[in-house]
Amino acid sequence: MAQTAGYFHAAYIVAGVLYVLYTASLVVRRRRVLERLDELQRGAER
Amino acid sequence: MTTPDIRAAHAQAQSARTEAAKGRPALVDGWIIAAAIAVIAAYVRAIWFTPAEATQGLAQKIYYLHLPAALNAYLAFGVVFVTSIVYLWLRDERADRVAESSAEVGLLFTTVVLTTGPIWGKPIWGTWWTWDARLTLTLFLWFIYAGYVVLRGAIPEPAQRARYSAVLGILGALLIPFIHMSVYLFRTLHPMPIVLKPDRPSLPPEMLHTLLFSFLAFVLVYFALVRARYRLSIERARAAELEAALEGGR
Repeated sequence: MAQTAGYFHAAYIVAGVLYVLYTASLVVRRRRVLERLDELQRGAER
Repeated sequence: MTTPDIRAAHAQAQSARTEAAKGRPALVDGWIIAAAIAVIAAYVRAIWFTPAEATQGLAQKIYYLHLPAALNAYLAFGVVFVTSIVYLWLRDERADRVAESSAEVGLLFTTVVLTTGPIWGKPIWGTWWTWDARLTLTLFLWFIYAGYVVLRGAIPEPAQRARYSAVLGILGALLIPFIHMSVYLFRTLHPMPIVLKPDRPSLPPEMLHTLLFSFLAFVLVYFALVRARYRLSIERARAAELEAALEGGR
């Protein structure tokens, strides 16, 4: 059997990092939009 | 300001924040947490409870990551295809939002396919990349949907953005049948399908079950991410409307 454990672990780590980064990007973008919405709502109330 | 005044102001601000948080879903919701747990369970099953293939060793297990990502990319762009047609037909903003969300998540899955594939290819083929028909067409698919995301960011007018991107979304998805059939149509290094083929899957049952489990876990990931991205799109539209209303009121 070929010794390919390093490649196997590398693939899982790379994929995991990609999924986590995308989820984090969603969270960051959403937080920014919510902050902007709060700002606009405060502006509308004034 | 005296100490009781400061306390009262803090309490008021805290209460406003709590009220605001009540009406709004959390940044990371239960679907994303459930999807993450399902993926971890699929990894554990693939690593410890599924036998390694005799000649390829552990690298073969990259398959439980690579194939579900590829199938979910097909699913994501298939959804873009259908919802883009629905948008052009009914001009329903919800269809455009689903297409936008699905395209972005499909791009993520295609990125996973294009990174895990070469990591498998290096020990098995002896090279990270080859200009094989399936690999090259998958790279073109990535370029098309990367262009789709860039196009959406470049057009400020919502109806025009939705119309142009629907056309690109439909044309991009037409590449999928060619990608799937490329191993039959061209001389290629890429393995032939062992699950999605006319006759029975040629995998031992324990490997097939792990693959199916992993596929379902990634369908859950797809659903959770599209749902979160869709919500972001609604909130962005709300902010844009409010901004326009305030501009108009000045």
